[in-house]
Amino acid sequence: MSSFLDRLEMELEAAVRRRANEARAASVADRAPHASVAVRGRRPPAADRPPRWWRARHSARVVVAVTALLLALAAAALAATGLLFTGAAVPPTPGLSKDVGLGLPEPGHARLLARSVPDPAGGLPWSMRIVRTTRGLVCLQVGRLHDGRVGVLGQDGAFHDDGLFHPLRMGTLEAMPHGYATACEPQGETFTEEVVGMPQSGQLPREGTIGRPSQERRLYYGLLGPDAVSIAYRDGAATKTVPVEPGTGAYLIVMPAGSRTPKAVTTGGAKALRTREEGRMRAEAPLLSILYRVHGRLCVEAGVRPAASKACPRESASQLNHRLRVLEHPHDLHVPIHVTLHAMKNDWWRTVPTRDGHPIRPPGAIDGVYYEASIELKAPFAVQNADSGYSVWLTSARSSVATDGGLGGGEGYELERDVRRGAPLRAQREDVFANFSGGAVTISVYYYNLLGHGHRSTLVGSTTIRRP
Amino acid sequence: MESNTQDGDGDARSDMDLLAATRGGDAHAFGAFYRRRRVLALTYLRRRTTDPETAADLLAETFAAALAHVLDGDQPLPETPVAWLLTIARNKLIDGWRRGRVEAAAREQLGMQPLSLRDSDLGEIERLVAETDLRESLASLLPADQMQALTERVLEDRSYTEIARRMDCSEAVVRKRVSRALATLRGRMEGLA
Repeated sequence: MSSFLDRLEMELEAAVRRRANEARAASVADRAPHASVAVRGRRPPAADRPPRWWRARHSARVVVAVTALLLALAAAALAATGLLFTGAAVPPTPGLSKDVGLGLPEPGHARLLARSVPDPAGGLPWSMRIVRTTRGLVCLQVGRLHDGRVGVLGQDGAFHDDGLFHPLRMGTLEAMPHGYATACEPQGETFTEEVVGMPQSGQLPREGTIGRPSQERRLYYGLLGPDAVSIAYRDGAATKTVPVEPGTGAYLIVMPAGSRTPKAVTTGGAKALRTREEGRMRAEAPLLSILYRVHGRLCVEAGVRPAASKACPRESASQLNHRLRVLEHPHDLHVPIHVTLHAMKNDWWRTVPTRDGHPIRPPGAIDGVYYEASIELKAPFAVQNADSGYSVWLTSARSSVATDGGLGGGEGYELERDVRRGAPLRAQREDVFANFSGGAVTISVYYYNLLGHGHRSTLVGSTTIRRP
Repeated sequence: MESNTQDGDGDARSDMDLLAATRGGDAHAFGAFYRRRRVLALTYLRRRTTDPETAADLLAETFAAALAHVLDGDQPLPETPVAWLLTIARNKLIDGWRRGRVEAAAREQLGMQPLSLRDSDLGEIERLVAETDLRESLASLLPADQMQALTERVLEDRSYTEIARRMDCSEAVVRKRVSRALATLRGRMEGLA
């Protein structure tokens, strides 16, 4: 006898078949009478015609389709002549703030990579805008280059396929995976990024497919630091060596689609801490090697196994451990953390019955209330940019056994905002007991300092709260 | 990046491909997607409900709603099907709490028959949920560095010091990666409708 799970599968598959059959039947019914009417040149009887709303909607679709076709033809004609019209600029990212998150782009601190990169299929080249923000981040934004500006093309579904060029505003700053090929890291960090499956338009899809596979691109870019001289990478069967931007080590590689299954965009990256090999990135695919100039001598980082003759110097394990010990401060600063619980009315669950008549009881909801925690402490260190910050961690006071749906012993979030030393640092957590059993939660506040400048990363303090 | 091996569906196509084929009328494609992701969705739902019956009911409605979405040619197919499916499950769960019962709207829309549960079904649900390792599903949602940090910290219960040594980075970076992983999961769960 089949199980519930198997029977559900059969029901779902049957539903797909029913829909497919209905669609086929509708398609046949649509074609037969209307075709004969068209031959005779008469309108079908009113009873056979689609309802008015259907006709209006489909008439509108025809208008839209014709308009899109005309726009596409016009764009194609312009492209054939080498001309391209500029459309509306990409809207700015809402909610950007000077002291929070990525911060705001700093006026006068945005520039383009000096060397543009041709698209594998021709057309507009690609380039990279390097932007510094008010929170000390450096953001790399990759897009198509036109008239000295980076932007996106109205194709592959972007901007309703209008065929125009849409420049990125300064205020368009949204880190991946949304929007545009943008990566942000604290100034001074070295890092690499990649986007596989980038539509030719230069805009990442928010939903749906990404256009025809032939339009995919693979983007590889990053900042390798002032010591970097050049990179070597594999492009098909060829090995290419290109110089990076002097002073920053910025680079950009654009390749055509590979042989992978299309229809999904994947992004990723790697970074090297300043504490490691003085921040030198190692070569990872597609990079075969990175040529650096260290203390006046050329050397090569070539992936996991350094080249025998000119390998760049690396730290020993003991040196590394020493650096990590210096970076981390194991002691608890024991800064007092004040937590106030606010009981929030939450009685809707009482009305929820299960099959056996008992109400469904959301985790953490006790006697019709849940608790919101207001957390406050005095910031022992200032946060002036994204190099450092505070994070709040919630863990079960009883144990680290998984009680939160599989995520296990804790949950945390960062307070990505600037704060003065000694100023109140506040955070809120709604339904603070929801993911923990036992009625007690330990709240820990950490200070992190990614670059190791100034104060070291440490546990600021912790406290345990109990459900009233 | 999607994992295509969960629950042994035996179909090499990606989730996206299966959903696209479903839209084209391939019933087996949705069956394969269902077999691949049903335990994940069931585990997610069961750990948030008080009994296996409710979880089973929500599971059926979740997949029915997902199928109705896929069959609607005006709707875009999801970029990250597994996260999209969990989001539907989460919304169905919340709807259930708010309305006081598990909705059957999607199943009715598709003309699906009500399914009764036997004791053996309930036992199977409990067994599957108990055996499920969520690691693979996490891997399908997270970049590699975040995945490693999250699993080592949360699933393997390693100390930050140990993870930092294994990952060649500082403890602060490990904490940040774990935090980002959780934020990513939270964002995907809440951001996709």
